[in-house]
Amino acid sequence: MPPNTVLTSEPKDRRKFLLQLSWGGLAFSAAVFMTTILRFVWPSVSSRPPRSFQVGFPDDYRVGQVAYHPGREVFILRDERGFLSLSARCTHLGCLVVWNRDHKMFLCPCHGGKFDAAGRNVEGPPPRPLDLFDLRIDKNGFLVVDQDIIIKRPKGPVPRFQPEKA
Amino acid sequence: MQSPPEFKRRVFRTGLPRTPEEELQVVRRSVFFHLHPMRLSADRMRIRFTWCLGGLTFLLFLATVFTGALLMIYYRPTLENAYGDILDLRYTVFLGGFLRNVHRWAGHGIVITLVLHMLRVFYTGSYKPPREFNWIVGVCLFLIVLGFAFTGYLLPWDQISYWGTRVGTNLLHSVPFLGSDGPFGRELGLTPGRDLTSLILGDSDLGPRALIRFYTLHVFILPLLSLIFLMVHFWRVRKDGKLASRL
Repeated sequence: MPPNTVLTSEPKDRRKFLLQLSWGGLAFSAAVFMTTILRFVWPSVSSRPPRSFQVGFPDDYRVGQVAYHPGREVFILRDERGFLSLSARCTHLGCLVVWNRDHKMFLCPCHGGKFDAAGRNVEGPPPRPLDLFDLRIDKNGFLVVDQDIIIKRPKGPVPRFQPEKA
Repeated sequence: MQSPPEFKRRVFRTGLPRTPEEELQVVRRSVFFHLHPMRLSADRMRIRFTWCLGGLTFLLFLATVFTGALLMIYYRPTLENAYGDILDLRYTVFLGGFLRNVHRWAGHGIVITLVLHMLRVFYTGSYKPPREFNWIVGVCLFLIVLGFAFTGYLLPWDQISYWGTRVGTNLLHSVPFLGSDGPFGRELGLTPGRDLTSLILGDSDLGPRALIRFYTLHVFILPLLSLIFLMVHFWRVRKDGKLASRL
């Protein structure tokens, strides 16, 4: 092998390697830069209230009480059999229903939809019962509503949440 | 003290051109003139060749820049002030309503002349090589203009702009991989409060964060982008020939 082959090929390889290293470094820096900018633009906090939230202790509710939580749009019901948590959104067009103590019914002010005390649609345009949200007891003993879990209604009576069994 | 003629010589270095050669030198040396071709063929200058649609779009763009800069003096992009400032511009500020209307109609006009410009380029086959790169630059400019239109729509913060933007940004929930309702959105763990829509709005819902983001896009980021693309676009018109070809 003539001595000058080594001299000409080696710097070329090195040059190629350094060039690749430079481009790689540049691409890496650009990627880090773009990720950082994206992370900056990405919202860290949300103004939307959490989907699962505490509604006090179970003993805060009397038997037979229907308590509305404004802002959360949720009713908490307690009767002899246990607790129910109902969405206040009318299943027709999403208006907020109100509890009528005399008729023992949820009435929708928009188009006259009526729901019974368990949230079943009994009159008017609503196509299905009010949504039933999941209830649980957290480690501090609070009653917690989870709006992300909608309980499927069985054919018969609606199953109540019983804190002592949970 | 320098004498006035000396000052004049230093600012207007060469003086007025006297010969055709000097006229060409002026065009070549000035940063403002050099984007324009030094020579134009009389044949290409016929109005029916281009209908001057690109130039009209640029003229309207200049009108929106001018009126927009003036509107910025009164408009504050906060929930408390935005709509009130628009009403102020309309009813109390001298020429405010006029400037706002010019801004609005020039903005609509840009979209119209731009579409016509693209149609002209398409039907005369001007997008074909060697000018295909400039067609791509032009499409980027078209997308930027749509961005201007969409972000500007929200700024008055009235019912139509709020709900229009609400609908427009809710559509982004359906984008594949990036939206919560799009293909693979749920699988990637995206929720309606954390996906492409919330990235653009700056929050899970349309609110003050979205207003300031749209404002920043509308008055700074998109103008910056459009300036870069316009520079390249005009430069390529000159360099690619045909319209500005040698005589």
